[in-house]
Amino acid sequence: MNQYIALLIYLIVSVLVVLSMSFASEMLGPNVPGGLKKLTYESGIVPEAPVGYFSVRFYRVAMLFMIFDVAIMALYPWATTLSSLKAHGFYNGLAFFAIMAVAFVYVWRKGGFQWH
Amino acid sequence: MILEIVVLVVKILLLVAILMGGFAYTMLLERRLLGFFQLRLGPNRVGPGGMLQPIADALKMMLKEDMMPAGADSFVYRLAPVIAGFAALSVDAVIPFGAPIHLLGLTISLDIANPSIGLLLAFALSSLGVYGIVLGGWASQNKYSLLGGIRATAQIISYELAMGLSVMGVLLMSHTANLEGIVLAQKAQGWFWLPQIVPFLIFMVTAIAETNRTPFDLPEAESELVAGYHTEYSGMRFALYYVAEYINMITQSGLIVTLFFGGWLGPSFLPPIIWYFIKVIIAIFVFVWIRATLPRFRYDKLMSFGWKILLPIAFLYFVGTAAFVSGVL
Repeated sequence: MNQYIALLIYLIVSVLVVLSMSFASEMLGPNVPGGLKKLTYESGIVPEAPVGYFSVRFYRVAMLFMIFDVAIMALYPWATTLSSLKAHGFYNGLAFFAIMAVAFVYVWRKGGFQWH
Repeated sequence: MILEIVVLVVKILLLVAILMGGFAYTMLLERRLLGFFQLRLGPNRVGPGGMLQPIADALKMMLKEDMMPAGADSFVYRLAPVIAGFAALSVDAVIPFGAPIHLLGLTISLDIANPSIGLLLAFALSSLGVYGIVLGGWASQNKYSLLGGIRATAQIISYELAMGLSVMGVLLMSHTANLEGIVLAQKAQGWFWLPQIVPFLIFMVTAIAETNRTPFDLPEAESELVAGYHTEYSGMRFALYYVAEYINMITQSGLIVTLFFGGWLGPSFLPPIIWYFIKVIIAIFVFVWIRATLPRFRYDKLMSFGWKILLPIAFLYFVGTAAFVSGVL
């Protein structure tokens, strides 16, 4: 049987298991509305203002993460076939690493990994 | 064909049962071990030695009232724990539990699927778990929860690169990303933890970060954020986040064992599947041990730790391994 069909069946089963679990206490538990139950918990004081949205400080790091992560994904096929590519494949890969390393050092020196 | 379908159904039911049972007793094991580490007994009242405690907990969780805050986004609020639980359960499908069994003329491999990109698939599925945390934190409309969700994002972009690079040495040495192939390569070359000792340590650190456990439990940091992303959850939805955390711990232990400690391999006086579970339990013990020992990281420090220390080290070791494998050195 195809591997991916088996995997798909398992994924569907696990979604069903988790979904049925998540509705269990909604079905079985008591439901007594009232009081201050619907307020969010803020260590005992009544919540002042709704949650605002604010700029997170690390959006630049998040973008760098995407770039480097894709570069690392590209290395997976290279790594699995390297033993048959021999030295020729290694030196070609080294050129790719050099470009990556230059980019990494540049971002570091420019303060791209700083918190602010 | 019918036989194959029967085998698949049995394997799926067994895996779900093992993971759910494993979750319950990993949780009990952790609570008892933490008790011993802190010179107290831990839960030992329900059943002999506390063995029925997980069942009591599950029943209690199920019979609790399920509450949703007034301002919450009801669809995303209900969806988030399902994503977290699903991501945790799904990864184990590609991890082999034992050597293939020959039965009734069929060769049955002890995993649900055994694709050639097994390791990549495992990473892809386990990375989905962070959506459960971020969306749960966002949908609750609680300030603490939102901060917990943001921290989860900050954490995943700090360590995932080092994690991806640290397994590359294993791929280089085994010439495959298929997890069964990686185990078989270790049968021929010896277990990979010794030649890959630095990547192994980096993978261990990032695996703890992936499971959001101390010292990287920033998203739920109970001394700062009440309970972080799951502050507003109750009943089974709250329990699902725990299911996700503990099954993730079992999964990451399974990955560590498969990648670096020879999976099911071991002396032949015990069957392979027993060896696999012994190694996984040892890895889980190390996880608990680390939790009992270390204090929590500050999350901006985690970011520079991941990018400026773990990533360069993993990268240099990877290039060195590549030079060795390709025969340049």
